[in-house]
Amino acid sequence: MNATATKPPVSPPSSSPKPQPPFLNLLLMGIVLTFILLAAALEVSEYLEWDERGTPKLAGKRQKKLEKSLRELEEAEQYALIIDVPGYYPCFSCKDSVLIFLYTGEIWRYGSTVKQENGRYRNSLRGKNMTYQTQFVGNIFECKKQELLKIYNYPVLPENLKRKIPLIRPPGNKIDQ
Amino acid sequence: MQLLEQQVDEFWFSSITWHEVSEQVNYPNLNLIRQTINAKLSLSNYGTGVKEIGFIFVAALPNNSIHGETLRFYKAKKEVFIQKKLPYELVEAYEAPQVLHLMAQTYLQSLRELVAKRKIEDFDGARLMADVQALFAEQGWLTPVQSAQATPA
Repeated sequence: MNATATKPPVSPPSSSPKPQPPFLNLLLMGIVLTFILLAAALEVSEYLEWDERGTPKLAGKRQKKLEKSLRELEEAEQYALIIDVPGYYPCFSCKDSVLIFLYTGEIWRYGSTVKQENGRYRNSLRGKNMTYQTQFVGNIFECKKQELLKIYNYPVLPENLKRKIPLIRPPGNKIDQ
Repeated sequence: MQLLEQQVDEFWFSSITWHEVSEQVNYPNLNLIRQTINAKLSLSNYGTGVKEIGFIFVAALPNNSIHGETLRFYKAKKEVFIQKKLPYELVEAYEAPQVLHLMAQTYLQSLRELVAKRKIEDFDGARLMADVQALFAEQGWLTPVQSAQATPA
């Protein structure tokens, strides 16, 4: 006689968590919500403040940053990078070459700046045998205007006209502005 | 922006100038100082702590707030970088030979500051300063020059 033994069905262990008291869920949600609101308020206080009458105003830090940025736009300058030592220099406006021979006193690039970014001039001038010549000071709009005039008028400069193929703009200027 | 690195001297020089005084500072003074120092001195004689000294003379208008003064040592690259102002009124009034003396004195003074303010490992800054001073004196750059123009009050 064949006897077959069948295992009694075993019910799987329950995977559902024990139900928590509703007040605990509410408490957790409350804590999370409080943190979110607190973080938002802190973030807002970075740029917004209210005076004693409840009138909103810019946060002091942002106000100072705005004033500094506006002041910088007023104190800009237009400059030229001038060659000190004759030699081959990169040319972004040459059609058939990536280098150009430049003589002492010739212009490599025109530009404008509102501030001395860390290392900017150092990187521009470092061992490059060039000097930085400030040609105009004023607000950034006036400086950009001067820069544009000089870049566009570069083709008629004697140092450019003597070339076999005159350049459209200074060798160091990739674009017109 | 990358320029050619073919002619980087151990002692490199540049300038930031208002266009009205560029001639006095740059031609021929800047190149004269650069060539003289690089021809006579080598940083390797003063230890291994410094491989390059960059110097930028600033002759900007007195109200210029963009170009300040700097004296830094970049340890990783062993580079000293100095940006120093020249007194604009003097540069404007002086002729090129006098400006050269002004530049020589400014350079020496900056080296003095470097020695006093920065302790750089394996670099004999005091001896370099003494050698630069001797070199400038030999060139006659540390003695006063008579000018055809009146000296400003």
